[in-house]
Amino acid sequence: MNKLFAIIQRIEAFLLAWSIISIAALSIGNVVCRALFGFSLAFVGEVSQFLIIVVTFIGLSYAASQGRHIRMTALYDQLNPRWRKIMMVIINSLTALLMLLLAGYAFEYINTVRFLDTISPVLQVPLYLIYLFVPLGFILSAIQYGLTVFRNLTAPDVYISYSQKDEYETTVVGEV
Amino acid sequence: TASTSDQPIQWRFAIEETIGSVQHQYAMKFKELVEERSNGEIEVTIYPYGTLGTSDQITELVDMEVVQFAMASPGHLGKLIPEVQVFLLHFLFSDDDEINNQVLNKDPRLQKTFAELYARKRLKLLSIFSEGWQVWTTKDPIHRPEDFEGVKMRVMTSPLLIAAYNAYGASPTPLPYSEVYSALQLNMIDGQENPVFAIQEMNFYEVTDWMIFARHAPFITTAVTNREFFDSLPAERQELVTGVVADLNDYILKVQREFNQERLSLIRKNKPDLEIITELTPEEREAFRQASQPVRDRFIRMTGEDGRKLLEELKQTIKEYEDQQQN
Amino acid sequence: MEALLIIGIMIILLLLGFPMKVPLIVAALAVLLVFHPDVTPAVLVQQMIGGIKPAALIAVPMFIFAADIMTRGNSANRLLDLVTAFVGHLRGGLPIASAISCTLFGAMSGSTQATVVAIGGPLRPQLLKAGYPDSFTTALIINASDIALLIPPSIGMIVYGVVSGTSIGELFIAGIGPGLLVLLLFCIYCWIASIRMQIPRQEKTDAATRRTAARRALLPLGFPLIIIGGIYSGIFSPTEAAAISVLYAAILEIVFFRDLTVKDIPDIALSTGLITAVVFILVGAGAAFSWVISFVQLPDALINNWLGLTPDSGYWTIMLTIAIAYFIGCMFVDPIVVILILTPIFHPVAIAAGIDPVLVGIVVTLQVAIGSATPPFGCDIFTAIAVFRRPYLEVIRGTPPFIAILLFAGILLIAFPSISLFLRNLAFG
Ligand code: NA
Ligand code: NA
Repeated sequence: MNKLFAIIQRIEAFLLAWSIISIAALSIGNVVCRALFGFSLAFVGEVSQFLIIVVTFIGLSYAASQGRHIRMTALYDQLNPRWRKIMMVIINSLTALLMLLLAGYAFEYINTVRFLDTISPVLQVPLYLIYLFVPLGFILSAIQYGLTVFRNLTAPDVYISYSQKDEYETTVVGEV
Repeated sequence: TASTSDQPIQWRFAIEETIGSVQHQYAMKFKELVEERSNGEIEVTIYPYGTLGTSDQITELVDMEVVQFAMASPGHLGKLIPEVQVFLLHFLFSDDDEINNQVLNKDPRLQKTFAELYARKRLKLLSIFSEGWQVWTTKDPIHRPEDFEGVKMRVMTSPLLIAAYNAYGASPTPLPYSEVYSALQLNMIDGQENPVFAIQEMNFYEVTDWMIFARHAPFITTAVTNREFFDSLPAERQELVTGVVADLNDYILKVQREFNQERLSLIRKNKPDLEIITELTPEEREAFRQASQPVRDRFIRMTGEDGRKLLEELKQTIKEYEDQQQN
Repeated sequence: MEALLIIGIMIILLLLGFPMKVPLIVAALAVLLVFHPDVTPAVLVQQMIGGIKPAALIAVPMFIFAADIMTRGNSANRLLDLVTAFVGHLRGGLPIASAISCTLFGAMSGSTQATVVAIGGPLRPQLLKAGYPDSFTTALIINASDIALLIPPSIGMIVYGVVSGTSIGELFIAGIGPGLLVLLLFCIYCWIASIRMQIPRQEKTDAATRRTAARRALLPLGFPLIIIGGIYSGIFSPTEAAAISVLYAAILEIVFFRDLTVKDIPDIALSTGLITAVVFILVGAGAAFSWVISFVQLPDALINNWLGLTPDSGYWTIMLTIAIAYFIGCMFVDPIVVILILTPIFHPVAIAAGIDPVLVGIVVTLQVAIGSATPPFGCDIFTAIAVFRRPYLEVIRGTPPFIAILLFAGILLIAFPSISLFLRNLAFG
């Protein structure tokens, strides 16, 4: 279990980091091209959009594995560890179910996109292929939330993710 | 009668433009006629731009039957039905609105061709109409393709439009609609194209000096419905829809002309020193037409045999109607 | 009925501590399943994908990336040293230096959280050592960091621009005046507070130290010049400015300061990717939620029937209603979500009333900043809890004066539109 967890996390981390680096490199290249040579690279916008989808939905699972969520802890903080554990089990089981449900809806939507045969205007890539990262992200995060439940049921402490204990250093950070 | 049943049936109509646009006018008249002719058994809700999503999303919504009716313009629909990009080609249509209206909505052969194209994507085409001519607004006058040399033109992200302005020697720059005004103001771009009503609404004329009616392409949109939804309707309801849509074709041509006339006067009033080229000479148009030929080859490469046949058919039909007009 | 269901689900799930995307999606899902069974929930996935797709949003991860590179490197510290060298010895010098540093760092960063970490992290121990109480220090840092939202670049403005169709370039420039106004008001308060708390003044630095500090901060200070100058002179769009900011930050830290090497970049990019995902999943969930309330036509009901707002309601009524709505919204959920949901509701009324869209955007940005530092659930509070590991009650104890100041600034922005529009008109006029 630990090994599988580690492998998934490494792949996710790789995708996240290199998607961001690629977006940066492409955008910089595009500006330089336009400023110096007067033409825009039309594919840059499209590829960046694809990568943002990868970042968001793969990141969804990676964030879950790190216990990084924006959530309100005002009431939760008042609970004793026993009740925190119970809440963690409830929250993570229900969130896992929701993620699976969304994965199902995502496949339904992808079916429509596939039927319509929508292709990206510049690179002519079928969009449904890119959108497959969406249900993939939902399923991977359902697994993460499931693992969190498993960890809370089998280990003594309260865990906010499979590998992270519920401590102030690692909790919830509002990002904006 | 059935009209006493408690709840009217809900039909939803999503448009790609805001309240006060040509499309909105179309949808409002559609709502009025449908509700009136169904004796209130049907209620139509109109969702203007921004409420249910982008043009791409709206088409998907029709397909998922979340909305029953929608506008689908070729710039976006071209991603699903490449052949409809024929409407983006320059100097293809007659420069007479009336002739184009007849070609697009009253010619049975073309109707059949288009209906089949839309049917592939589970859509039923209801009508094709122009919202007015695309007009260039630029910092310098444009008479010939050479005048476009080095001009940074903002265009929609469509390979054919990019190819068209490349063919004139311009450098086409894709940019979000909301950034066009600022980009013109800061000279990041030198020009853009849109129908008059949009130019007025977004104040693009304030930040450009010339307005050029090259009549290179009408801004065309199409009204569609979900084919399975339509087929599942009882015959009388189907006739209700086709009847309303037929009546709307002439109505919307009139509305479009009035709209663009009014907005043009408003522009003239607000900026009296705006230079307007109301038309290009036949020689100038011919030069552009020649320059834009490679774009047609590109269209044919993108769409294959179907596209080539469609383009021929369209050219043929336009010519026939133009000849009729002459006689 | 739909409204009751939505509000009920939101409040219960938020209170129970579900990740914020969950209440949004469940509320949207419930409305469709209960009231519109003919509409497939697959539409929610469509809207989630659509929500993160707009091209201008690419600027968000890029500005975060640039800020991450500079936080990991040394730019933030150099700015800090500069500001403390020049104002540290004044009465209230340290808190004033914190506010100024937050503003300067805000000019490189689109996110308040990065600012809390980069500036609040190193300054907090110094403030405590100088004798400022913990509650004052924490409140100062979280509220001064909010200036980062007003000073360009700003993630809040990017999202507002995307949702409302307002020019992001104009929003950026219009944020400078209000950002500086808030800074000034905070400095005055810090001065008064330090007199009342009888904090001794710090020693004055000598001229040599100041010169060194100024020289060391020169390159980081070029950052805002490049962003604003580049946009204003038409060299690049706001989205492109974001890419340039990454390039500038990387060159600064790797080539000039040599604090980082190319090998550090993937690690920083991972942290950027993580933050981006957390923000963008909320953007997606917010878009799906917003779609459902549009679909059931709640905005019309809210504007026409409940608030009775029309374009003829008058400037003050409209602006105050908007300000209050965003302020209250941010007391409960993330600012990005509030912008996504409320903008399609209120923006059209303001535009129909002839109010400058840029002014509306700036007032909204300020309200969002205030609301997010306001109890019960303002998310800045939870940032501070997480970063400084202090209990909830202590974090919120010092905030009321700052919130009062910010609300006063909000009134000023509404009363004097030129605070926001002056620079915009200068740049774009
Ligand atoms: Na900022
Ligand atoms: Na904030």
